[in-house]
Amino acid sequence: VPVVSESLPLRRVAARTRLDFWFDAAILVGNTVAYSYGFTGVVIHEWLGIALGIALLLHITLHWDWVVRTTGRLLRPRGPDKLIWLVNLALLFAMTLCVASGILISRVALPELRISLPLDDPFWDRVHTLTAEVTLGLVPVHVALRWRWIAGVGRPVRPGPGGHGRAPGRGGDARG
Amino acid sequence: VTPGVELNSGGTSGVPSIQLGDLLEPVNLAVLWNTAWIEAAVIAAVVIVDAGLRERRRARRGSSR
Repeated sequence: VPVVSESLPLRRVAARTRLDFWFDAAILVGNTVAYSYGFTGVVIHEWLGIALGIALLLHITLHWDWVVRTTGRLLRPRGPDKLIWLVNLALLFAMTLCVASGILISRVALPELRISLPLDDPFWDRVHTLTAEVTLGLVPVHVALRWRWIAGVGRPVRPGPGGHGRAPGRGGDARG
Repeated sequence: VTPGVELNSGGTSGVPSIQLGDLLEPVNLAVLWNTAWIEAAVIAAVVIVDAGLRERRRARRGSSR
């Protein structure tokens, strides 16, 4: 059952679901491309990484209600989404560190923005590589744990008894 | 050819100024293909495990009735 506000018109809910779906798909593709350093080269890699950092903030903002609701239910013995919550937390941690360390070791984007960080520490290089690999592993898990929602978005809307269709729940309400 | 798009000017400074053809060089595409394959494999594995667990839970619930 979609967890959506009854007062929201169906069309608006569907629009928000579509936004969630396509925005998340863009982040997934962006992440795949950004990880492929050998494909992009340093310039695209760095600018795309910064864009992904901004997209991550937007993604969390769009799903903030899920974060609050699920966090509040974590202590319940049969509370749902515990695994998803843990994966999401680990992914948030890894991705934030990855973007932050990437900014710290930036050779192109930061100088272009007239920002120079006097950092020449291989530690941040290692942090960036490690967190990028963790992110590469966790992003598909994060996506796959919501495969039912993804499949639901692709499915045609089923007409209900009153002639109203049933769309998959809004991304922010039904998933994280 | 080394993987990774080389900048056509300005060394490693500036906004991207590359040709799309550079990205599509087989040696560069192979890197992207490799990443996409890893992600697709992990997604498929998690979906299969999750679907299996759900199916088992449903069957257990069905048999206990």
